[in-house]
Amino acid sequence: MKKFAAITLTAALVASLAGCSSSGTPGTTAAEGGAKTTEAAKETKGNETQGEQPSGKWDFSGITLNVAHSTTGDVSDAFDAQFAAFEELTGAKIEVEHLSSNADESENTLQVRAATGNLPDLWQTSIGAKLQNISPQDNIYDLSGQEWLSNIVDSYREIVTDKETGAVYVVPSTTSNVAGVFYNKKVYEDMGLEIPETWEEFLANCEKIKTGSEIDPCASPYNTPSGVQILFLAQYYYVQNENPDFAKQYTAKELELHESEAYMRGLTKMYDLWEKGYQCEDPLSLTFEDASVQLANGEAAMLVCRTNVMATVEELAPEGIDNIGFFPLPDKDNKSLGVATWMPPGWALNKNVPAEKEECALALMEFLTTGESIDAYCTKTTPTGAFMLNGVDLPDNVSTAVIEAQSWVDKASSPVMEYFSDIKGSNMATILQMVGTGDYTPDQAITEIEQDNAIDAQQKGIAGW
Amino acid sequence: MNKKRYPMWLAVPGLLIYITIFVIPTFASFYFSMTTWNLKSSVFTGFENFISFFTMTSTRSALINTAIYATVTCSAKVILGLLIAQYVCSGIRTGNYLKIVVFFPTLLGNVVIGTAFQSVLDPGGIVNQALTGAGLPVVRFLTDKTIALATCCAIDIWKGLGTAVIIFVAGLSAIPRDYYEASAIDGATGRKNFTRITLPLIIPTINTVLTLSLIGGLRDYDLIYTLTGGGPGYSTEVIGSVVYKLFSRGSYGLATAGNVILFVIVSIIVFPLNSFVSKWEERL
Amino acid sequence: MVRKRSLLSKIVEVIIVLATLVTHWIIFYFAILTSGKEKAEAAQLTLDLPEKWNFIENYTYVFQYQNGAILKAFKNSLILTVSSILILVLVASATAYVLQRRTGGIGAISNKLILAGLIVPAAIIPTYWMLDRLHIANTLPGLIVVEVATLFPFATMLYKGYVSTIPGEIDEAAIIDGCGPFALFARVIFPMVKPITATVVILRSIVVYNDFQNPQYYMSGSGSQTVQLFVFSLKSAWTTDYGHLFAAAIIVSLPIIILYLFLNKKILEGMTAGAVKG
Repeated sequence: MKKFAAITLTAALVASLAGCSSSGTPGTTAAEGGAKTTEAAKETKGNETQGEQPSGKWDFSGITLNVAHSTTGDVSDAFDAQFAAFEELTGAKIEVEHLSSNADESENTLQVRAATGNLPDLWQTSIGAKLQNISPQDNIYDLSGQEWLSNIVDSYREIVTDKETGAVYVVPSTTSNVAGVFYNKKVYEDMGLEIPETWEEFLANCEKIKTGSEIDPCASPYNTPSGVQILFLAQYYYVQNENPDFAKQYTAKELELHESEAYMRGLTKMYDLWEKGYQCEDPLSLTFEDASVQLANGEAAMLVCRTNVMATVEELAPEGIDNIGFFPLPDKDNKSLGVATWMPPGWALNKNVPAEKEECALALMEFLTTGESIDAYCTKTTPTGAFMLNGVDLPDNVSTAVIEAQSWVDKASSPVMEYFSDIKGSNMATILQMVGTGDYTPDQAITEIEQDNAIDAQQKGIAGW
Repeated sequence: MNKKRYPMWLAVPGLLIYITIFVIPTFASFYFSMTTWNLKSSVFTGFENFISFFTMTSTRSALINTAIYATVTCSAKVILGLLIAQYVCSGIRTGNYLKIVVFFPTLLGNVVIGTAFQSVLDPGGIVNQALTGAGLPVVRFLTDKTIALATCCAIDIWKGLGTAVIIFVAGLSAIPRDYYEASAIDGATGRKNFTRITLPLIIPTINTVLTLSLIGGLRDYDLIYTLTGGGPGYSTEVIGSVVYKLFSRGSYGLATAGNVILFVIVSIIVFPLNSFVSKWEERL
Repeated sequence: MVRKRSLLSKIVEVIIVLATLVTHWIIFYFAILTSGKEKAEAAQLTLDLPEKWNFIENYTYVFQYQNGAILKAFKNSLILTVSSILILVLVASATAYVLQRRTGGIGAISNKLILAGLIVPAAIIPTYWMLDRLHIANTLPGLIVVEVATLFPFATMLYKGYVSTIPGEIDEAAIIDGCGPFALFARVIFPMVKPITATVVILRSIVVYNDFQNPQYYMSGSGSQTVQLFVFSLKSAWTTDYGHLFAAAIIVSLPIIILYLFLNKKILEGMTAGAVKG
């Protein structure tokens, strides 16, 4: 609470908070810790059993909720701020458990715990095809029928709704992500470069940067499994552009990956960057954090990544935020430019949550979809994508790169393949590392990927494999 | 008589825990290695998992890497361990100091060691600061695929040497003093003493250190995993880390098959080696 | 001859001590220094003294992180280590004693099983499945029995070797004195195997306290994490925050280092006693 009061004193921050939830009345929302809900939120909160008084409605003193997530950095702090606001509002206690930041590991942890009945009360989960791994019908609380679900935008709700039963499983936890090329505008200006619209032009720009300066054309943070996969996964926009049913047909084993030219181009692009020497000297040592800082400082000209890079830049090199611009990952021609997107992972509620905690946990889920909670979120980090909540727009201080990236979402975008097909071998990151450092040609890599994926599909018992 | 005096029930608690938690799961793993399995239900698939495991590219590298890793770390621990233990037992003042220092890394957890070495060996870390300061090129200890495995071996030796030294010191100090005294009367010198008295008497200890560090080298992966995650490429992948990654992806049946293969490999190497060294011991 | 040797050995001594400076001390020095630096400075990864001495801030931060999560982790690690070792010592010594004194029958089979346990890697996922059957998966008791089962073969072999050096006449004398079978073990044999107990307690405490694999598999994210898992989660959360990371690493390493400094003489006593049997 003190935090909130202190923050409201800073006029500049108040302005940014106000921008965060468009329905909020600036000042009062923050100053009173969200005890009073905004008009818009009140309407949806008029819950059947409880009275109208918000303070009387949510009193959960003595209840402790266990929440698990695998998010790190400022966004993790943002979650803590949301939970603190909820604790303040309701008297409940929230214990946070950090899962491994390696996506495979944290998902496996949850999967094992689901299979053995040891899930936390609330946890952050990937959505899309991966949600099935945890057997949502057995493990996740069905939120359908909760009035406040209308806080969530339709497109997100659709993805997290079970088509057969109509069950709604999660609420969005962070912001959406758009993948593409983030570039240093100063470097582009200084060298007189144009924004490339084809991969050829992109490579030409790299060549000019390489020969005309000491700057690395492309920062390639291949140090972590997530860093090495972004370019390749982002290519999926062009894959589905070529064949809208690609993921479905692949899952049903009706096509092979190497038959798709667009899919292969994802590998070729990574290979190009290595072959032509457009990366830093040792991509395998380069962490995502280092790469973000290099981009912001102009030590690297470009970085293929997702909009969440801007949160990292804000944290580590805030002075460089305005230097960074965005353009879509170019492909073979300039007519088909588009971007790949990631929906925010969601908060799931344990289906077997103890009865005494149920109401409190539902209240937290509701709270997480409200403007007050987003206000708290925005005190710790500037959002780098859409919250997927109604009545919550991006605040004014969002960086221009994020705005540019968002503008592509309506124009030409597709969620990445993992939302449509869960087939992914255990060595994907390693194989891509090897492409990005020249150990595998795209042709060798695709054979490996197909083999690796086949094993995964067999292990999952997918029909036809 | 024996039965009354030494009732079996005294052994029951230990055997019960051991059999329930170790033996039964080990036997169960033979079954589960032939299934696709999601912890709740399993479908029998015969030997398919074993075929899949061996068709994986990572397995091929892992087999070779495991062999190198186990051989190098094990022999270094035996040889260096024995040398240092000799030094420690020779009564030199700094012997005890050396013993404590060498043992120190054993006290640290693998995560702590991994974190420390990752920063020390970073391209911008202190080792490379020293190298560039001396006009040498930067060495990418953990991200150059030609040396990453060697780096992991060195760190494992650094960590495990202390245990070997302690075991050797114990073995050496168990050798009765009068053997050396008798040999001194015969006019034997240091080197002769070593080959004629120390070595034959220390062979059981060598056998212990050899077996323990070989088993460790074959099946441990967590230090490597915290250092490199098996990379770059597959250059530091070992069987243990392949199994762990499969487990992480939820391929429990396949991961169990990998574990069974590891079990077979360890058995066919360690059992014969153990009896070979024992026979050698008898001959001496 | 004598003088020449001592000069050579002095040179060797100096070289060895200097070598340990490079191989060991610099790393510890680096870790300690880094744990007292601010984030940006720590990220430089140098051996320079901190520009701003941030020790108190860094260590306080670690203790306060997530409302003192580290203290909770310490509590879990302590319970885990003490209970595992206590149970291990009791059951392994008793089993070893009975198996050593009785020959043939179940004893022979048990011997083979225990010997195999030294070599066979644990079947991780089936073990998890078993713990789940027993309703102790993802619990501290579950992890404790896993640790006991993992360390059981080696400890039993050590005890067996030592028990074999205790002559059977002692048993007979005790029985003539009116000892029952349990009293014979508890009052006569168990005190006699003390050197092995000391070794097992010290060396295996280090192993259990530092164990990462078992907690990761059998208790990952159960909310009651051990200090090793705690440091691992910090490694994910503080990727570039070396100051805090090293502070945490040093904090979790300290208890076992202190234990070692107090008990380091005892380790060797037990080991030597164990080795006597050959």
